[in-house]
Amino acid sequence: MGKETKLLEKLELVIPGFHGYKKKELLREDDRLVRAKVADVLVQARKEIERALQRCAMVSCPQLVAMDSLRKKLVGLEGRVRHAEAGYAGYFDRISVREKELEKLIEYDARMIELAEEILGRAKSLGGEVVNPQALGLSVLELEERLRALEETLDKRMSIVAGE
Amino acid sequence: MVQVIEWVNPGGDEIIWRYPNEVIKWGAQLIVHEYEVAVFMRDGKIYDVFGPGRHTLTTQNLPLLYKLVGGSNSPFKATVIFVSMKEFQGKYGGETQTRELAPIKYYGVYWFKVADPVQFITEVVGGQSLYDAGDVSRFIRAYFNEGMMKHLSAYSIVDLFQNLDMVSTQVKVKLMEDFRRLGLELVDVKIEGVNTTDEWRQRLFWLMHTGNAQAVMQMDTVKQVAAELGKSGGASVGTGMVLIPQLMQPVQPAQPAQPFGGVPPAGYGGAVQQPQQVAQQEICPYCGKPIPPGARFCPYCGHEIKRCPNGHIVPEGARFCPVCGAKIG
Ligand SMILES: [Zn+2]
Ligand SMILES: [Zn+2]
Repeated sequence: MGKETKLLEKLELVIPGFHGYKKKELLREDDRLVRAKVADVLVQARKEIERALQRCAMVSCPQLVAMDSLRKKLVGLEGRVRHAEAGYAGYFDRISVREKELEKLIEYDARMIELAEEILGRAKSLGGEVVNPQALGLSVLELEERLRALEETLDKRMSIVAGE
Repeated sequence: MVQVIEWVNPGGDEIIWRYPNEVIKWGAQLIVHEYEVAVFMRDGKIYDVFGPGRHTLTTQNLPLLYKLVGGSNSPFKATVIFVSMKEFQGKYGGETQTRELAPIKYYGVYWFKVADPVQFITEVVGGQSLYDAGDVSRFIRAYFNEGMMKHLSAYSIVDLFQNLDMVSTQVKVKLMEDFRRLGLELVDVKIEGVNTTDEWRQRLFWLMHTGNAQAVMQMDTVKQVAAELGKSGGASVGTGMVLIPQLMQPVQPAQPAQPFGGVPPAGYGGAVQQPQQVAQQEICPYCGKPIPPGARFCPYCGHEIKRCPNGHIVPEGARFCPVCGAKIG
């Protein structure tokens, strides 16, 4: 059982209705399902950050501006993930999709989901860290790091799907 | 002829639209575009809600209204409100007072969208009986402005001019909460400008450079100080100099004479930087940002920084340096 097969199984598990790009007529649908899943997790993460922001504003914690900029980055990223199809409308209409491309696509999909879930997990702990500026500062840095990683993965995914 | 219920060509700043005909026939076509929601109301109460798509109105998909009209298949009365889920931009501007009652003016831009259409209609459209997009926008702007005024007035003038980033983020977070109550999501807020009167700018100068809010506030006007200094002239500096040490002392009595800007501002409770770090740094009296030593213009706000021959920053219009008494100009 190859790496891709495992990733595929994992994706099928977390995304109800996902076909693993196995049926040509459902490629677009699969693509949309993956992106919607990632975007939904990011929305949850944003809500967690907003909750922490609320607490932070009450006690004037020093990470307030940094947390707000995280929130803004998340809003932007969520929009990009959710509405990405505009950039590569032609891809799934091509007659043959090569095996290698699909493998890469699945790899990036799995990575995006993993990163989104890490972001959510860390966002959830922010609220409790508001009273501990040092821990909060570190968490904000870690979150920024992962947002950047997610953005990079999204870019790479887009470039495959755009047929480059 | 089939009745078609559709919001045709919504304007870029229209947040809601009310379908003009209140008599709805079963079998009517309801067309809800992407980024829209259609809500069926009667007597100010919300019954059924439709997302994007083309819907044929049947007793199946309007169960609550069907029940309300007593299971009859004849046309029924309902108000259909379309809500746009797009992001909107609004401009704001207003006047309020700081914690010390300093008058301030502010303006900027905010971005928002409907997060919960049912709550939005309950709170704003139905709750305020506003069925026109213009009225709704005006209500939201007034609501925003009211919140802005209220939240800004909890801050001191020094916070506003020296920690505007922090203040505006805190205010934004509070406004987000206010907006959530209306079923709206406040996406972002930008404060583009904050201003006060000349007199308060002078006073601000002293506040920022002495950190002694109480002493500054006890004087009727800070202009008096400058005037006192101006009058004295010549060799003896006179009464003006008597006032100054009172202003300067209480915060950091042991500080040796050093360029103006040495004393940390009376800022944010608890969250300020260490005074020692700020001590070497000169601060622009107009925008509060740190400036390079000896700068003649503030690199952030472009304001000219007036100095005495010994290099102390002096307030605009002063004829003598409040630190060393040297004549200016
Ligand atoms: Zn400046
Ligand atoms: Zn001087």
